[in-house]
Amino acid sequence: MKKLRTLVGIVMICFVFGALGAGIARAEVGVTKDTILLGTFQDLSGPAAYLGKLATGVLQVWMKDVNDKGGIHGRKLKLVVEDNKYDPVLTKTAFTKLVDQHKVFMIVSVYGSTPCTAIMPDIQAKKIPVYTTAAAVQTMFDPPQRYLFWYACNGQDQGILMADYVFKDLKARDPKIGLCYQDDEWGKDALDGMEMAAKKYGFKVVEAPYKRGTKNLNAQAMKLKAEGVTHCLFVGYAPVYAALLMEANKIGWKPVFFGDYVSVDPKTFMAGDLANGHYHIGNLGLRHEGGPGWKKIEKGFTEAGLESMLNEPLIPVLWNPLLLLTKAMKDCGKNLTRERLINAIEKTKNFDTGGLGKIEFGPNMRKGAHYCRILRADASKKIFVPVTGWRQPSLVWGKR
Amino acid sequence: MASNILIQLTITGLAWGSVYACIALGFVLIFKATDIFNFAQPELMMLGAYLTFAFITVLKLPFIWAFLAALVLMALITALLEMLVVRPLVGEPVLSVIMVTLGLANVIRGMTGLVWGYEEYQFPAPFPKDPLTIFGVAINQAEIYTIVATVILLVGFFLFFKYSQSGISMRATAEDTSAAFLMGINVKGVFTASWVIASLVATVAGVFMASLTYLDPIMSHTGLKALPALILGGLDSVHGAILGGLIIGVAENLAGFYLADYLGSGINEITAYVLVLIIMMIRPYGLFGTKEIERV
Amino acid sequence: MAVTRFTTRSYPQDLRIFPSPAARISLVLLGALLLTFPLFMGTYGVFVACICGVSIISALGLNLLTGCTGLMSMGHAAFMGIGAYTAAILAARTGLPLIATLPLAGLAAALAGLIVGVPALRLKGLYLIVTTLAFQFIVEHVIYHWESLTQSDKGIALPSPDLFGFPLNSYQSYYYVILALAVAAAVFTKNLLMSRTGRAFVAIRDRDIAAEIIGIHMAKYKIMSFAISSFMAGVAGALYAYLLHLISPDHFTFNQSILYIAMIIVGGMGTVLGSILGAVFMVLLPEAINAVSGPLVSAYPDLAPRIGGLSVMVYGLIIIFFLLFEPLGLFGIWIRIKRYWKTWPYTY
Repeated sequence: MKKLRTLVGIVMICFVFGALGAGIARAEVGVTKDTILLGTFQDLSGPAAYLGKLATGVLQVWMKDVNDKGGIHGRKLKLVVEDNKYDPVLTKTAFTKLVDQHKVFMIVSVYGSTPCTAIMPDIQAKKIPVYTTAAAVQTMFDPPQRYLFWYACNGQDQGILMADYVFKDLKARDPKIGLCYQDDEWGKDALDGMEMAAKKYGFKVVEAPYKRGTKNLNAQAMKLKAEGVTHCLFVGYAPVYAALLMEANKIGWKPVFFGDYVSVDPKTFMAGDLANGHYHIGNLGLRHEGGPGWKKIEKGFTEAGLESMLNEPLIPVLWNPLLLLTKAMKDCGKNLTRERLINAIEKTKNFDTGGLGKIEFGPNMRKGAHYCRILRADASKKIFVPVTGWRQPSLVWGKR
Repeated sequence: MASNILIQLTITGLAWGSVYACIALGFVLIFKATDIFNFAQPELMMLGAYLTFAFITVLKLPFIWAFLAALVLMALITALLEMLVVRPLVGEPVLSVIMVTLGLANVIRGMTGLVWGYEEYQFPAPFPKDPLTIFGVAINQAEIYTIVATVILLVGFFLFFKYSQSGISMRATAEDTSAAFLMGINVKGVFTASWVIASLVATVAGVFMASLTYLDPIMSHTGLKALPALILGGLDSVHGAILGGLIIGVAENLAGFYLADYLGSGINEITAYVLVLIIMMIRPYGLFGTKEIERV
Repeated sequence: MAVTRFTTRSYPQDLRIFPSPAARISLVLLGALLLTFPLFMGTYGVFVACICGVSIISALGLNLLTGCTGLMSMGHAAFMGIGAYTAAILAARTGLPLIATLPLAGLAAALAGLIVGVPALRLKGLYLIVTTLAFQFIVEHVIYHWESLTQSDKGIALPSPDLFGFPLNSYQSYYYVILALAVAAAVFTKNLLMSRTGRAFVAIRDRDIAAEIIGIHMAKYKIMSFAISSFMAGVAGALYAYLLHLISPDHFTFNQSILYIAMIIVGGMGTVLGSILGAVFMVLLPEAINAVSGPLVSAYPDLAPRIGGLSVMVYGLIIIFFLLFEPLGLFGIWIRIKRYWKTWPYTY
């Protein structure tokens, strides 16, 4: 019985390989005469569910906008959403389902280091464009992979930018620089950047990492205070940043804080006046600046009945790449294939987002964001005001 | 300076330990009376905090009334849950009952997600925001209230179990359910009462935890740390649960400061579990638990 | 007549693993179905089947420990993690083939099982549960922070496996490896339960002190149970690692441990069939929920978190429902259906 089964098994294996090896000539998947099928996996019920809500909202508004204008060369956009609960296995399942069952053309607007890392080998193997991920991991774009595009604000950049600002703009004398970060790739990238800057400027980083989900930051704040930190970068979610501000206030530690781009968020003002006057690093246009890009977002969201989402300053992180995608898809003309689309995305330079922040890819360049601004929190109006123009870190990407 | 840091860490640790202690207390109350281990306790805590929040923001009640209204509502909800879901399972294998409470935890978590979404909210805590400095040690007023409330609960429950009629009948039920039943104790009433009291304690814990930081669904995961607190103290001991909570609160804050450089940054989040593993090697029934004598 | 066969079954018949001819025939049919499965299911279906297979192996291990020996563990995912990381590190760093990494992963997990098993000798019930819970969290911490070995949350990528020179680089081919091992695990467990060792396990579960008095070496069997169970978890973890191509600390969390407990409870405690049914059910459940919630979310994105919350609720409700109305789990339902047909038309 057992022997027989093994035998049958081996025969089966050979058979399957024969079928696969025959090499199937493939028409472009997911594109029909009048539709383009896009897929995405979103966290709808896990720890990042608020991002899932945001991303599905942004995608809906964008698709409506494109389809109302007649679609891409007459093809309407269609979307399939799978719930991944921010779980790596369910993400992989969702990816397989999107690619092999729904047969989508590409995957759009995904995020999260855990889920995106889990499907990295498959993206390469299946040659599916994933455009874009906002996962805070360097491996998403370094080394660059043809099918994986990344658009967010890089941790390394932020670490260097912060040091640049402290030494060059604030001209602080003998500053003690600290870093309080969530101890995953996101935070570790910022630490890497800071270590690079430390070599350049000659300082030593005081680090105080915390585990994702930690609520009590007393030990971290005490450590930074005991080391006499005067300038502290925080990398993590806004509510945790607010908790750190309150903890610092409690123990009477008064450094200059720098929040990373995720804490450019109204939730930072949960700490009230304590957030006032501290710096932030951001790569996106801000709503109160009233640029044409944001005006368009406001219009689209209001028409879709999603006004409540407009408070979310991270919308452009998802929106900007979609604007560029629309253009790239149109550039492909009637003959839309995955490879042609990728080439079109690479060719798009100096793309105008309407003041929403810069975005640009290129051959062997999968990092979409290079420029940031330093902002300053204004607690009375609950907004962040830019204090510098768009700038690159002094140690430019590729030459570190 | 060094001793100052130590005291500061200890005080903040005590405040957080008090929150763990309150949650652990809920576990003990249910376990003592019904021999059921309620894994949904952290979720009850979260629900209590969310209900208080809803009463304050939606109905615009002042904090104290919102808190009381949440207590009443929580009592009703848990009484209902106990009668419909948990009671049919009395006498079933331990693991089945645990799994039911885990299922319940899922339902409550899903429900809060359904109603309030997954965002963080600032909790409108009634405690003044300015920290106090006593003998060079800084402390938030919310932390002071948390510690004080835990002490009051500890003393209250100690007296309740020792002297009150209901407390004694609860202890009797825990000791031997059928004997208690034969002695005329309203066993069903005791079961329901223990769940209701546990939910009230959970609400207190939830309100304090939300006041110390903010309100979000991850609260329930932090609340899970009450489990090691409970095991540390001994499953059936009220003062054990409270002391266990305090020990863990202080230990993890100290570990976060002194050991994080050597053992990894998340060390304060698992200190509780390391402690439990060590204690279990030495005393398999916790610091204050009663050693069960089994007969065939 | 089916009825007579049902009532009179001789002792040698009882000793067989698959007692009746009907059971054997249906088994052959099932085998044929499983073997041809990849031919008529798409890649996605095969991938889900692979996950089912891995979960079955792991659930069998947990059921042996919890359902048969009565030792409750909330750290099953940690054992899987140890196995998975052993296989991944060996495969990625030293290039060992699948045939070597699988048993080594099992052994590494079994070793960890021995270590947890020793303190477990003194612990009972909830104390044991929380101790295994502590083990779970500590393993998670170590995997996360031993960066030089595990690469933390960057994860370890595994090379595509091969078996005696056959490359297994599609889900379809890897499916047969998982199928073979899942069948082997099920037959092994079934066999074990009918042996002296299995009866000793059950005796310990039912009343451990009494078991010791009648001469069962309790320490030996408890530790053996832990070791076998974690060996199976380790092998399952290794298979999982190859299946997913990349593993990170988030693959083996507390929630996963809970999922495996749910599998054996929903399936049926202490039975082989129960482990299988439970594993398949719990893997397919999120798929089923997703089939409803996915399209809903595409249509109404502002309801996304609400629908997500609803799916979490449904998940919890199904577990509660099973425990309240079908304490024997899917196995109980199966038995009832079987009895109905066996005694038909005399069913009351």
